[in-house]
Amino acid sequence: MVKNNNKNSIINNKIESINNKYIKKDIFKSLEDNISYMKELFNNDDTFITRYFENNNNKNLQYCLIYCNGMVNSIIINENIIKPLMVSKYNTSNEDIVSDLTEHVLMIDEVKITSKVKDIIENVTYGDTVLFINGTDKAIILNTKQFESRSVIEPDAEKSLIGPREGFTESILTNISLIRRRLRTNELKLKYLTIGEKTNTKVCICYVDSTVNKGVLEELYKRISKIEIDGILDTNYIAELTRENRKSPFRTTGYTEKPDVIVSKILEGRIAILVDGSPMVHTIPYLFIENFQNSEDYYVSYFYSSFTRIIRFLSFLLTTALPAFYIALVAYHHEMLPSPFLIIITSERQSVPLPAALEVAIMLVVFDILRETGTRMPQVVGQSISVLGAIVIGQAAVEAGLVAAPTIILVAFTGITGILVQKLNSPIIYVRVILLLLASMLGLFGFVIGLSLLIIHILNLKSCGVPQVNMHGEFKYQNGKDIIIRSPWWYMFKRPKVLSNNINRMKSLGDNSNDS
Amino acid sequence: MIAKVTKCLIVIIFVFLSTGCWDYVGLDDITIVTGMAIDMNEDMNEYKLSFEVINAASSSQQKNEIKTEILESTGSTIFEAIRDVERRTMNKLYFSNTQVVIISNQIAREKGINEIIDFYLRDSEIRETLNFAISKEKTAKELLKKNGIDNPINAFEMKKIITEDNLLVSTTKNKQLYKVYNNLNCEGESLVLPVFHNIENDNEQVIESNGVAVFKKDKLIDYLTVNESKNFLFIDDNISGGILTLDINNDIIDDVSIEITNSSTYKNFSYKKDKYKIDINIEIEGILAELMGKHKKIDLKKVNEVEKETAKKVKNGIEKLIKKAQKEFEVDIFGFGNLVYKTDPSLWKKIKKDWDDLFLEVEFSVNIKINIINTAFRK
Repeated sequence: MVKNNNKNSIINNKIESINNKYIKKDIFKSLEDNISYMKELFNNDDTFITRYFENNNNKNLQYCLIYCNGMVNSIIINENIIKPLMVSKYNTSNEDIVSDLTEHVLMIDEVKITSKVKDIIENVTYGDTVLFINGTDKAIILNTKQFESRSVIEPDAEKSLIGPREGFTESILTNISLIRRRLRTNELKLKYLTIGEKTNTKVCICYVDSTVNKGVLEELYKRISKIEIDGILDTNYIAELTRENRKSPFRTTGYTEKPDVIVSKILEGRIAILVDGSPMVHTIPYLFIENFQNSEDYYVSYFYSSFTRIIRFLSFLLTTALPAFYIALVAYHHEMLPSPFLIIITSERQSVPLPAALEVAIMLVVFDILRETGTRMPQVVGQSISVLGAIVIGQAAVEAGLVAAPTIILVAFTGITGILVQKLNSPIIYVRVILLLLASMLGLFGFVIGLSLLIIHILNLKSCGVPQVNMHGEFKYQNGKDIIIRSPWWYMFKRPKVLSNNINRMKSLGDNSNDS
Repeated sequence: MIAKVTKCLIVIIFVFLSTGCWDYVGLDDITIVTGMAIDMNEDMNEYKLSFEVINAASSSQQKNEIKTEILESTGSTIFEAIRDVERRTMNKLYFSNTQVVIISNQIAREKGINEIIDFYLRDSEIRETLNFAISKEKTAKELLKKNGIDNPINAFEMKKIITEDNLLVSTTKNKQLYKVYNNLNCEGESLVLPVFHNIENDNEQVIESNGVAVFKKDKLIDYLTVNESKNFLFIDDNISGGILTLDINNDIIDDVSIEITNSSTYKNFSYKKDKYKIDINIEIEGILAELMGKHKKIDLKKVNEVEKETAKKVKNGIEKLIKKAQKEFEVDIFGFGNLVYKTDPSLWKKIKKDWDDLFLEVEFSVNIKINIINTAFRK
């Protein structure tokens, strides 16, 4: 317990140091000085509003409000701030004027007393209103936020047929509410950090206290505290700045736009990172297997999802290895092809000008160009791309004898299987090319070398200090229950060992069969 | 650190050096040989080779149609003859997908097949599962020239005929390269090879398998007919299909055909009082597939009669065949010597040298048990 407290205090110090990094200056006592200083800070900004007024009953009480136009709710400012302050008859002394006002006069739900200029800037630019009082070196930050944000809709990238459809938005508060609604416990911890010298972006670290791995949490804070960057616009900034294996194309964080996925991950002991302004929420630690998992796996029958899981594994293997394997067979080891195949491929390859390896490489690049065009183009021109891609490049090239038909089939198959494992899209491209290169120079021998290197690399991947693939030399079925297949829920009575301190998910260890 | 790097480099270099030979060969640089026929000129001093190759260029122009052509060459050795072809074609002949090698009976009879097998066992880049066949025609090339009935590639057709024979007709024995080599080099079993000949079918000459060829050492001495081959396969325990027919007409039954569904052979060797005896027990399961003549109604008595008569017929055939092997061929094609070796190795060591003579006096008894499991008749 002592040790745990110690760890908690280390973590709290880290948070403190992250949040205090940019604080430099305190505010003045005089109202005029403060306002002129603020105006100086916000000069050339016409949305910056200052509003002077004083109490009708006590002319000594002079106030000034500052806020940014367009981000505030005017009704709250008029009715709940200016009106009570103007008409108030409450008698107050100069010493505790700040606490008196917040306790007896201001009708605002969330107030914060500060003396730091940094705080004021951050909150004014976030839609809050700051109240300065003449003769006090403290200001009151009042919650008057009101700005437009996208509504909660189903994310395009993660459409699901079955299961929850809500997706995160760009507003961090909405996102937190989506998580909290699904996880109604005091064990859900949400810790705000401010990162980015210019953007002052609000970042929220979210986890379940009883299952999180404190070591990983500490490591994450340590890494975040080292971040020095002017702006954070998306969660990926943090993911990249805190990742290890920097020379690897493999992911070290998981990402999703769906609150149900985040809840399931943090329940297993992972930590979620939310960034204001981005609907993408990342989770660490990331296990390699998560590349193949999908939220829908857990919402449909385990028979079906086990099958689709296997299909995804197969697709990864095919999309990375198939071109290289084909080249190795066609260029070096013809004897491994069954005779009918050999004859057909040989006759197809007769009139083709390029060697097989170069042809496959070129067609893979062509496919990637088509794919990238498909993603980036405006939707209106979508049809012309499919016509050009499919007919011109596919059919015409084969008929003209420029490209062999088996190559087109191979590349199309490689492309389609690649799309199935979206989370691995960047490693797939590199692994595929490296394997292809090795296979075209050394045949199957090079192919096997490449695959071995790939496996070694994957075994060495880590995410926030946690190995992505666990190979302890022991195999327990309990550890493999959610890998190749998705075991039924009554069988997954433990959490992944590496992620959590508290690995029992079910008290009864799954012994709650309903079969008579 | 440097030591580590050097160690790694040495390992990597060794890995590259110990891989055997391969090299980049584009598919458009090879000519696929599917079948090969080996003949000799009349003076028996020069090999005449014919290759059935895939004409890939014309196959690609006319889609869905594979064309083959025959290449010919001569040389004083097989390898010279193969290299001789290269003077005529742009591409290298590629043998890994060669399905069948046809040897003319002239070579097999007069020169022996040892030379040919020797070439294939060396660096000729073929599969060890290559099939061999003996041509009953004057030259082996005549068999290769024909187009198969089902497959435009004659060699493929031939290979399938050989390998699937024991499932449907059971009239020839499939011997792949490594088995041929084993037979030639181990004592106690003589080599047999499948035989092919041409036959007229719908005004066209087509290939047909025609029993097996019997070898003494590596030389062809005689052929077994199709029926003898079937009896041979019974002894060899190599039947999983085919039919047995009974040509009979008495009070109880007429001609019948029995489709064999299963057949197992158990051979036992015993040595008593200087006499070598082989017991052959064959258990055949079959279906009554055809019943001729007037006795259409079937009862148990009839079935028993059929079983009895068929067993008698098979037994006669087998006994006749063994006697023929002892009297005429004087070679142990059944592998009885091998059986002796397996049951009594010490005895085999003593008699190994004289087995060729001892085989002629081996006594044998044949027991056939036929079990008709159903009549395959629709009511």
